[in-house]
Amino acid sequence: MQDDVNDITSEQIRSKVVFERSSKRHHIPGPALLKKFKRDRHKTHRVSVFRYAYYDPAFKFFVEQVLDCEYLALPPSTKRTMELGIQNSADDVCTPFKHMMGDWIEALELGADILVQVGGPCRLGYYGEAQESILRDMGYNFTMLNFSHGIEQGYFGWGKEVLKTVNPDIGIAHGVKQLLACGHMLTKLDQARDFYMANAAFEVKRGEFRAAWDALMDDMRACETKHDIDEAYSRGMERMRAIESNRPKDPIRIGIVGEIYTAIDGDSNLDLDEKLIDMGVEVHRMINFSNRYTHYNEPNLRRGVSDYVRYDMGPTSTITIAAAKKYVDAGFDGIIHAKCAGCTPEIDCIPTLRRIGEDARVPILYLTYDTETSDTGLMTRLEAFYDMLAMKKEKIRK
Amino acid sequence: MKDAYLGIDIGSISTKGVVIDTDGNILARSYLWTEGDPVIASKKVARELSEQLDGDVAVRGAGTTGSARRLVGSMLGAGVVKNEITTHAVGTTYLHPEVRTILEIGGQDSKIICVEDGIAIDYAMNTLCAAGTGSFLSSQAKRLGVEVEEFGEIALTSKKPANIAARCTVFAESDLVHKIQVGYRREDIIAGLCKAVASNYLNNVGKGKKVIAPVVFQGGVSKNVGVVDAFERLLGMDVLVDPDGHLMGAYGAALLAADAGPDASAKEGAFASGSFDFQAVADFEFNTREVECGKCANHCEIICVYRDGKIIDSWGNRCERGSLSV
Amino acid sequence: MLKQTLNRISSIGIPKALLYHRYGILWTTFFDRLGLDVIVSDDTDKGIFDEGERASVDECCLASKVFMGHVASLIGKCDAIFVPSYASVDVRAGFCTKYQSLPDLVMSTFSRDLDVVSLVVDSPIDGKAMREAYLKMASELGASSKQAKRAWKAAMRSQEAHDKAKVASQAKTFKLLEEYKRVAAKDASGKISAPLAILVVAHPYISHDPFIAGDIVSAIEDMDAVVIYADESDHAKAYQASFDFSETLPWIINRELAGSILMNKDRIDGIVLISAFPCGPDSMFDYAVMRSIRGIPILNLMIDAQSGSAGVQTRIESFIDILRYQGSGGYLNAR
Repeated sequence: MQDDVNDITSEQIRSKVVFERSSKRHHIPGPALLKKFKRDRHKTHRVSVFRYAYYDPAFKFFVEQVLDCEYLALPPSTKRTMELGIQNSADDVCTPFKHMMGDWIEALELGADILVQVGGPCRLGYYGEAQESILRDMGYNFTMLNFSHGIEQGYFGWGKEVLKTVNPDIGIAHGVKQLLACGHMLTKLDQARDFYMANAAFEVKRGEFRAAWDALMDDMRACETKHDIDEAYSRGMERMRAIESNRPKDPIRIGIVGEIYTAIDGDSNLDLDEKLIDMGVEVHRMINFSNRYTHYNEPNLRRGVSDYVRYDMGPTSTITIAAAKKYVDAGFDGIIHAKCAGCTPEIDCIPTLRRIGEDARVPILYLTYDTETSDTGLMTRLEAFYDMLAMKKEKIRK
Repeated sequence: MKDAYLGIDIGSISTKGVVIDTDGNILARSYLWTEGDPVIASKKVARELSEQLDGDVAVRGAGTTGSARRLVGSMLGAGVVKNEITTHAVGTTYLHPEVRTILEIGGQDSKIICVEDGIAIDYAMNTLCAAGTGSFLSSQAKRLGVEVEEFGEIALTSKKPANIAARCTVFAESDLVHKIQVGYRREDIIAGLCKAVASNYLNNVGKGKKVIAPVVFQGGVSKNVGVVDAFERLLGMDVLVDPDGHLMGAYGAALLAADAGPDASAKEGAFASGSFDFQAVADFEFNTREVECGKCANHCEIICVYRDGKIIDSWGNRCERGSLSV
Repeated sequence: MLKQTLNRISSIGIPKALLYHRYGILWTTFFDRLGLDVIVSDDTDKGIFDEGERASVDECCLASKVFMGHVASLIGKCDAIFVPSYASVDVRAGFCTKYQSLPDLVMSTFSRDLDVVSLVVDSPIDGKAMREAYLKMASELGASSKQAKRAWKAAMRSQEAHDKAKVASQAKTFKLLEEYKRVAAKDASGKISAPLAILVVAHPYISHDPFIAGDIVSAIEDMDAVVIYADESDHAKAYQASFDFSETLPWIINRELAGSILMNKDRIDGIVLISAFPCGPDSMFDYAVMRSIRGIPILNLMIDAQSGSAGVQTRIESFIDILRYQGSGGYLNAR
């Protein structure tokens, strides 16, 4: 875990480093000066984004480099975060809503005055408005940059929304360039995480991967340009590749599929990937931010599973099903389907996943997370799943 | 001296223990309520077991399972600490090598295990709520003023089981109250509950799993003949209930301990003399303490286990900062 | 797999669940005009529900389970079953993702070889896109373009006529209620009182399925109150009105319900808001309604399996009692 307790001090140190870098390089020519001037005008805004897996460096980049505002980093979530979320949400709303409510309340307590809600398909499209109205009723004063507004006009609408609600002075060319860089960072974060999950279980010296990952995240948090991102990524990957490994010939391989928030976010899934890594499992997970948004080609993905589905079944359904098919084709030992309670589209994937699992004789563990899900209950299921796969493998080997 | 192995299954509601010989025969068995205190319950189980053993037996290793497996495992110095799904599969397939489907309903959890060629190939556990598990039946029994042990026999006398909406505990309770108020016969309500438990199980835990004969049903609720009857009707096949079915977790843990062989490495604790010292376990004083780690914002709750005041194990920390030296 | 050919198909089954309660007339007329025998499944009963529950993943909502039961009841009774996919391309007029997944959900659940006739509708308020989707399906079934267009026209007209009749009848009910109130106001003895008007706010497949909500509706009517269905208000007007309730609410049916509340708030006495457990859109919509609709009493009911099972009657009776006592200014002033 990265040490966010000292965030305020490290933040100050970092912005100093950033200043030196940009004066040495000349990536941003003329407008750089102008940009600095603007930053002075808008630094009164403290912008916060909800907690979401390992994406906070990209959120920070978005706030600082695209919105040109001050980023308010949230400390790691605690039990209180969850309690705040539960208290201030509808009982039967999907779990990510509750996690985010907890995040927003803590962000506002820390002095945020702008909250960024990304919006999206399904209930997520209504999250922002619902959350904003609950928070206002609680007496908070803030602005919500909610990308469910402006969505009818696509990027143009979103651009207008940003200029209107946050910062009217953002240079369009600069903003677009940095937005693309932000998307690039999301891709790089996902790629690094993929490598981490596939290899961390086999490090010889315990903790080396974790340390390399934390360093990579810190590195990413300091990025100001696409160039910085590429360098941070190369440094991080180099360090992870250099870690001594004792990968067995045929390790147990598990693919995680499921709903885009719960399957990725460690706070929500109780560190599912880390728990599997600790058991010595090679972990894969196709569902992530960049595979769903940046590189998403639904019709193409669906073509590969045409034996199992005819239409697009929901927001992330095609990735869920295509990933499961890919894992069974690649000879994985097992698949874990992770979703939050009440996630309609992922529930509707289950009959199809069952068919894939049955046809390939690959076991699938179905996990439903809500705010009550306990660590012990999860461990029991995971250990049993691991035992089952290991015994099966042992038997086949004989 | 005959070598033997100990298995203890500490569940949320009941604690089970067995001692087996190296051929897998059960030499001693014990079953009692956990009553919220796994330490005392497993001490009691150990005492009950020792009373059933003659002096010629030396317990060479121990295995624990169930929700308090870790705590009792470090308490007893168990060499094997396994989750209850695996131990149930191990125990049942040993006694019933032909079994294809294991249904299990315990105090708060229920599970289904699909077996092929003697090993588990698929399993599922209840997801969200405890509807249809043992604790649910107990609380409904209390509401009806009936001992839960009598439930099964009463259910069998019903000619027309009531329909009870048992998908969710909350809905089930309000439906039950409603049915009592409007004057349904008691045995019809009880039979309805038994049926609801079975169909709820098949619709939730058993959904998507092929139930293939031979079927073994175990866990505390398998003692309820009403539920067994409901299962047989719904599945249209025989459902076998082993007289030792409620002990299968403990039995599986003992088998795994036997498979691991004698553990002679212990320098202190219950196995210090090379075999399990029942008297010492009774005399040791075990304590647990919950410490909230303040080293980062996670505030992990760390469980520490002490034997005679000395820390012997701890867990619950999410990072190295919270690890305590043992 | 999906095989769509008129040559092989002479009868088509339509499950009487979910969007049937919105587009049923359109569907039956359309297939009828294409020359198919249309077989609509029976009203929901316990057998259908139990079958649906058996076939469904446990976590599915009640309405989805009922739908699956209807599909199961049609298997073997017709050459193919019609299961459309209504997607949510329009972010302000979408559906629950359940509707999008239905054809594949049905095939994965029962058999990938089940003969399912389907189409994809991207937006329910884009008339042209909807027409094209239906014409495409008709042509896949082997209908001539002329036959398809004629079938569409007839289908559209019948559905519109049906919807208009509902709107007209609602307007008439309100008129009668006003009349009643006028008479009651003039009556000095206080013996005449106008019946209470209760707006039932629920997805149409809940409020109009007697198995699911029948007990609730009859409990209201047994209390001599008049039931007005929010989903029978003018859809287009209600949709427009809903933007005063919410800008980003993604679901068209919830929008129409919200619009109907706003349009009728001043001429009703109470709202009964019904959801089937566990409904995704309603998990947020109900919360928003309960928090933001002011000045009118609301009873929110969550139903699981049959409505009768959760003691619905008591809740309805006490709700309407309270409305009455409020209306007459206190307990002992009631008639």
